[in-house]
Amino acid sequence: MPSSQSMIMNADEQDRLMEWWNKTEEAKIVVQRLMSLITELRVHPESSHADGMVLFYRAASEISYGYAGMRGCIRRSFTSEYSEPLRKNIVMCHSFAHKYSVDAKILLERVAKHVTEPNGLQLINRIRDALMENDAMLNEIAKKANAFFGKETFQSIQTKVNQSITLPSIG
Amino acid sequence: MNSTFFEWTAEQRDSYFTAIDAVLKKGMAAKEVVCSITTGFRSIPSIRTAPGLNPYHATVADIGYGFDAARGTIKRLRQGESISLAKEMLVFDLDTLRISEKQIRPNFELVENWAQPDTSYLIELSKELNGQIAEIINEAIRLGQAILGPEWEIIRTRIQNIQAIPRL
Repeated sequence: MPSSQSMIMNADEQDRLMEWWNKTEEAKIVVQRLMSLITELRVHPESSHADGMVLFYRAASEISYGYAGMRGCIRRSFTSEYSEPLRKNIVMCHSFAHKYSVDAKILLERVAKHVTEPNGLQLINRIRDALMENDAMLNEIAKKANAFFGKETFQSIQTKVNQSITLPSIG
Repeated sequence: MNSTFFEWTAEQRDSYFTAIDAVLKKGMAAKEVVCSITTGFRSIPSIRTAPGLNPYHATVADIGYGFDAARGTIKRLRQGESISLAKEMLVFDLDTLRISEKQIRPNFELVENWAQPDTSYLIELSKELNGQIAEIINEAIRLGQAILGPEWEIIRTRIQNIQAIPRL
């Protein structure tokens, strides 16, 4: 374990990280329901082979992955592994969940064009609602992240994360 | 004809759900830590563009999805929702986890070749947790097969059409 990078969290920070964790506990129910509805859409005869379905599933799996990664990072932050790279890691996971939630909403509307039968339409509507609940959760989680890092630090880590996946400027 | 849980007693149904959900729940912490480590690989210069990292990441996400989806379906059924394709959904998610479990090791072996000594603890931890996840997937499938009996295989044959849709 890279002990040279280790950071110490004070009691206040630990409390705020626990609040973040508790919010992800609430989110778990939303995420599990969303993924189950998406499995239902995937096995549904009218939508299983619809255009956009493969990418819609891929985006959904990345939402689940982003939440899980965030929780994994919080678990690791309560150990001696807590460090600057781990702080960046947790912000990356949150941004993953957010980014792919945007993609999922776009792709769902592409899939929806294929669906005409009432049961399928009802399912699409339920997924739309579940994606909105997911957005609300991610917003609430972002507030917890702000409280934990402090707004400026959170934004600066987000900027670093974005820079690390952008072509550097010349010179 | 839709396959339903109607022919089962409430007790049978509940024990099926309780058993599978309990097994999957045991694997949640492992999958969370594996997902977090995989995201961390994106910041490690020697690994971030390693061949194999993208398919490994996709497999890890597939597994995360499968756990969440199956648990979500069980929760919906327990809350009394009637889902006509419930058995298909559960067999589909659990059997797809079986396929992902087979993919995870070869994909990770590619990534491993690029690790430096300072990341070896993350590699070792991932391997250990992937091993735990594999056991949990196999246990959940064994339970599913035990409870559904010959119906498991019949449903599995039906859902193969959907499994055959490429997932990248």
